[in-house]
Amino acid sequence: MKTIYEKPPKLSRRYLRDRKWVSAHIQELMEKYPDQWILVYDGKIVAHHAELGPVWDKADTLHLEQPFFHLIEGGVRVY
Amino acid sequence: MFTKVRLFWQTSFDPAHLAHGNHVKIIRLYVPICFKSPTGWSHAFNAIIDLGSPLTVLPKKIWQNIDVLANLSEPVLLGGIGKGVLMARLARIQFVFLDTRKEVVELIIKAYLAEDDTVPLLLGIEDLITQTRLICDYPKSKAFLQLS
Repeated sequence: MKTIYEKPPKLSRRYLRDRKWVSAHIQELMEKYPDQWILVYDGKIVAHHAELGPVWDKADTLHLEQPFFHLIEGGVRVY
Repeated sequence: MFTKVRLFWQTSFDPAHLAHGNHVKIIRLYVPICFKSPTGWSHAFNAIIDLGSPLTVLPKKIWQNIDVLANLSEPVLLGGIGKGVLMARLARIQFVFLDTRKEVVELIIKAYLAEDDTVPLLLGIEDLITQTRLICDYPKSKAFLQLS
């Protein structure tokens, strides 16, 4: 089941806290989850995978409201 | 009258260089966005503002779950991303910048829809920097997009 937002959501305080949490732990996350998408909710890693699909699906399965998705780069990446 | 969209800096150090005592900063500038989808709005995503990318790039899972306003090309080879070469087609999409305020800022842009789900979500120059003013102050940890 998909999480449905009827209008563009405002950023929640929890989303901003999770963003800050990722920033504060980024070095550790780069070691643990290099070049993987992570799903963070309430300061916890809920899912991680090299592809976004399984991480997105996990968020939908758990009905998480505005979870924080982030691609952890394992090092310098030049796109 | 201008609308400001707040951006977020993230700084890390390349672990490979760090192991040899060299501090190589990886500095990224992010903006939270979400996309119009057939059922409402997508999840929020942290997009990288990438001034090295001429155009926006979307991972497969995102574009498979959003409204694509128009397909503009067949799949083409896209160089310089992922494992070096990537198939992607050009399309027109719609997204909104997310903020803590009620005000919604929406953009319609051209984007490459990647046939790959490991690539980052990049906001490239065309249709972003051409429609907004990017104000950056890394030493003060501030950055925003200004839209008229």
